[in-house]
Amino acid sequence: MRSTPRRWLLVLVAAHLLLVTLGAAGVELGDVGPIGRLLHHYGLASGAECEYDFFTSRDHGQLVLHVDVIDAEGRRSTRSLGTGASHEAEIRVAHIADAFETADPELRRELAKSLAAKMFDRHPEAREVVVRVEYFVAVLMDEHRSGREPRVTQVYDARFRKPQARPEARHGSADPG
Amino acid sequence: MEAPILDDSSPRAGACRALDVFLFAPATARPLAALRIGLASVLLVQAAVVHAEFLDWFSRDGLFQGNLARAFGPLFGPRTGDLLAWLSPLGVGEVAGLRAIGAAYVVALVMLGFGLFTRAAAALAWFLHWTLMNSADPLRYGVDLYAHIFLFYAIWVPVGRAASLDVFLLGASRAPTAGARIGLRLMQMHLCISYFASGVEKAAFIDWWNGELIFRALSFPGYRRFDMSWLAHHPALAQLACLATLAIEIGYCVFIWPRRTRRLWLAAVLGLHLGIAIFLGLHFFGIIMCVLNIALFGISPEPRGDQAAFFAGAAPGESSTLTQPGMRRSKAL
Repeated sequence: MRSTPRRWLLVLVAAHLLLVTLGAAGVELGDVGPIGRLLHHYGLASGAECEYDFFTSRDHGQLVLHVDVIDAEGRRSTRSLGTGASHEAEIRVAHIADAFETADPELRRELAKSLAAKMFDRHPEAREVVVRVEYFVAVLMDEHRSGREPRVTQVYDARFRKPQARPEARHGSADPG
Repeated sequence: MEAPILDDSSPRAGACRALDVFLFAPATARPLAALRIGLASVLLVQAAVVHAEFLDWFSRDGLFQGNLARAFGPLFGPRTGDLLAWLSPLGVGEVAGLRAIGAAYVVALVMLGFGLFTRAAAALAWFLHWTLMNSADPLRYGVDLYAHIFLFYAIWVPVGRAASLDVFLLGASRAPTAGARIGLRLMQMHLCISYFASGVEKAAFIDWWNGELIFRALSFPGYRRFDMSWLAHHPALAQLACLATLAIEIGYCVFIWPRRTRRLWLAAVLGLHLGIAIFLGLHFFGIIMCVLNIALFGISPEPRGDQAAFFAGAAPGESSTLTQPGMRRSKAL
């Protein structure tokens, strides 16, 4: 460290990497006063606050979102929220299911309503749209060998009837299961 | 007359000297250029693949209607709604505004990839990527986080000092710099922290030790690409895959640095990410991680002559164009 600029550069790099480490450890700086909030904002802007907890869920399951379109004859078909143009898009829209984990029933209802409105727009033949979220529980290897099948539990179900101008909920049972 | 710091043989001086070389020995920007081109290419292909969904994801009558998008994700950060509000006094409507944002993002990535006005292009790409990521938070996953992190670095690190139009047309210097070295080290260490954190987090769950997690992940509807149920009849294989993942991720921060183990670890981590891409269908996540690993640890930053000596195992400091007398070159890439 032969020069002052290098020392300062080193301090900045070390501070940034410290934030990266704290972010990776799940430390919430946003609650630690004004400086903590400033660092939290920097962490969001730079990505230093990211956590890397991929595939570390304690749960043995995954939320799965289905959107069913029902036409005037009562025919029901499950449609994707993506346009079907790419696998990448399908992966992303599948992640919307996780948004239903929110504890706020009103927000879940707004989200379901929004998705249903989009489906009415995309499928003019639809008379009703059902937004379902299921919890898929995988089995252990041992259970699979003994013939046990994965379990699916419904955690959210909302049905929307085609409106004249905008989608209106007929009923929206938001049973968190 | 310069003080003879380098002749000081005390342990402290030796440690300072080694740290100085590790962090500041002038390096070429070749690995940084590979990162720049790879990152921009992956994001451009991704943009091309999902462009049909663009309006559905970001417009107010798309999947997240009205102000619903604001209910998800962090409160801080730009959103498409903010940019559209700035554009509306100019008479730009929502659809035209979103198309302009999308086009600006693509142009920024193209400029970043070619290295034209590289810092400005990186700043614009980073800002628009962050904006798009915040505006449809329920749609994001790991690839977006890594892209956001490394686009931010691309603003500050001299990624345009090699294989770029800035060099060929605008005369930017290709000379090795201390800035390239410290930038490379910063990104390398960030990658190490991310793997270590990910590995340690996984190691806290018994399912990563007995192999159940990989069987479970492969059976989830969101990730199932092939029928992997046969794995249940070979639990040792599932366990081996899980343990190898833990070893690769936790050991990364140690074994990616020494020359003797670097190639092995690089191959292992590339195999891990290709496996994720193929078997879990997370193609862009797998590819972007391969790009980051190859750029940061697979490409030598040493000048050409030095590189040959480096890989030939020349003695430290011998026939080096970048080291000063008495100064060792960094043994790590």
